[in-house]
Amino acid sequence: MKKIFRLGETEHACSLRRGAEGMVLETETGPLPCALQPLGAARYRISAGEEQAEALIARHGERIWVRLRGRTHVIDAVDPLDALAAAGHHGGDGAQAPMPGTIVSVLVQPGAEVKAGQDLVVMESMKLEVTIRAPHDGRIAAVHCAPGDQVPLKFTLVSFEAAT
Amino acid sequence: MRRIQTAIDPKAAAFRDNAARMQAVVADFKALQERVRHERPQRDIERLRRQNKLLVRERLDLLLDPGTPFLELSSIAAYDQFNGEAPGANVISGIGVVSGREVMIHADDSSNKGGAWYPLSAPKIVRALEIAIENRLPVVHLCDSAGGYLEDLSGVYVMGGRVFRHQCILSKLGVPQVAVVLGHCTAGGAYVPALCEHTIMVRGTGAVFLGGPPLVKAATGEEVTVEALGGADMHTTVSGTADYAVDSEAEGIALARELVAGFSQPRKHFDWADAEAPYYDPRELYGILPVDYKVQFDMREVIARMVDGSRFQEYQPGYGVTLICGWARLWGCKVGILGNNGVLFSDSSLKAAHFIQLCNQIGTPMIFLQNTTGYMIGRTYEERGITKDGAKMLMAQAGSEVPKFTVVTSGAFGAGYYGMCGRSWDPRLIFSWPQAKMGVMGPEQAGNTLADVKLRQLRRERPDASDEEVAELRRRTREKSERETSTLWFSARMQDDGVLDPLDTRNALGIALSCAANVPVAEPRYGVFRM
Repeated sequence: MKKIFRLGETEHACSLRRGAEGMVLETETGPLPCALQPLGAARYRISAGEEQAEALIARHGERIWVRLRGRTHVIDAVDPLDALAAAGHHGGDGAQAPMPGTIVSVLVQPGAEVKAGQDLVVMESMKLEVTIRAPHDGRIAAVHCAPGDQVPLKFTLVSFEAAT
Repeated sequence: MRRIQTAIDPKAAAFRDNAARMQAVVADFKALQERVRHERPQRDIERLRRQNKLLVRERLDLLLDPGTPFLELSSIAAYDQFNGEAPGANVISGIGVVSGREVMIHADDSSNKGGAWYPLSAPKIVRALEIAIENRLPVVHLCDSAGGYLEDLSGVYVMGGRVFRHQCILSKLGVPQVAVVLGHCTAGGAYVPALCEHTIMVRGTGAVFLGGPPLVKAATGEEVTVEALGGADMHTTVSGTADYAVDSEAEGIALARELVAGFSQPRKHFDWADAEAPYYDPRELYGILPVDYKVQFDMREVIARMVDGSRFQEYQPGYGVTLICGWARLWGCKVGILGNNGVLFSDSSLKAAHFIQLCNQIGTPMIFLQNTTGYMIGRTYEERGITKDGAKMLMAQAGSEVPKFTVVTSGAFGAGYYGMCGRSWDPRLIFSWPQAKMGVMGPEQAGNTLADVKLRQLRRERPDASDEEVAELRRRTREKSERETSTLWFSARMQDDGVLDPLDTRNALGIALSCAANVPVAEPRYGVFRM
């Protein structure tokens, strides 16, 4: 499987292989002979096809910064599994109680825009305060609980508007 | 392996408030530990100096390879018991590096009550030797104890014998021990050096005998000096009880280092790769961990700050979601991690039982990150068999042969503590974080239950008890249950292997894994799972 790199808004799938003359980058537009020669202190000489240039390259985790001809390019290496999993994600249509318990507080109102992972409701059960978070981005359609309510397992606490 | 994506914002006010509270708890613990380690009566320190003896921490400095980590075990043992006369149970134990080899160290601390063995001293040495047996660690004993604490000899007697029994077992397994006799080893204590493969004695201060001069005089009338009865020269030239006589403590410790350097290096088992630091800053753990155990947190955020590259291959992310299972590397070693993310239900219990078997199939050590208020209760859950599913989790653990390690991160209550490999389930090492709470019940529940029982008693005996008296009784029972559910309380009674700063946990587990890798993993064999 090819590696995926995100440059700005665009994703590029490519792979590197050993060719007869040196390394070859397989890109969407065809093979490109290339080389990367370290010059010390984060400096490198890059050659790709006929072109050659010096660049500063830094990396932290999956993010790579390339300073090339006066401009800095930010490249993110994307795990293909993340890219594929994200493409198939549709989310649920509400946030449900993971266990029976008592509502402690409600942190959103109908009409609010929420981001995935945002706190919606806090409930208490089995000595634990559990925060129910938004399963995906969206707008709150309705809140079905209030502080002090006893709710059963899988009770829909907050529902989302259908995606447009 | 993919990286965990964090959902926390370290710049948020709530996060920073929480971090400040957690850091205060950790600082309090460290101040307590510092007192237990170093606060000693001036009189005792002067006595040791007069005798030309080093303090036990100075001896450790000489023994250990400079710049290497020392994983001290049960550092606050007995701190709140025996009128403070046995800080650390008058014994230091821990895993350290001597001449490039990982060894277990047992060092008597004679800076208090002459290093007498109190009722928790022998259990602390026994636990250290148990760890040495399980991990095939050579042992260095730095012997300097006045002997069993005379006021409580019955509390020392039975467990004391187990020290010597474990020494024999180590020898039988081919794991060598070195003793450096730096003080008197009297009565039972005389067997510690006698049972070691290599024994060094310091002239003048070191002595080994079954009965010291006063006892000999009382029993037989014979008058004899310490040196003649059990000194270094007598034992290394006449009796053969010891092997080397040296002139100073420093010389004895240098010789112990030379002897350890001659021990063979074990081959390491398990799956190791190059280690990688966590991608996310481990200091963020302070902001993630709530000081109040009732507040839940996402265990993935903790895992992300402990494992190599913050990478985690999560197993069954959609099933039994209140228990997180998955694989990661820690200091390069592949591990299976089980972490609580809520109450244990039937599905999370089944997931655990399955995952434990998976780890055993591929010989991967397991790390349990505990934050559990127990198994879910209620009619629906009993009908679904929550009890028999919890039993499956226990059965899988009992059949498991891979090394297990446990960290009590926040709450550890009820049977969840057992299911998640509490002390009773033989983790190779179990550590707790300083703010954590544990017990049969939560502090509120335990306090209220006890208060109700006591109130009924009070009203029976004195029906005219005032409101103030009742309030006072409630306050006292509440305080008691708060105190006795703290991990400091449990650790002082050696119900774990020590309290750790969350930040030190990755290194502690790395040392633990490296030691466990000395022993090949046996084939698992399971009992009957109630289906």
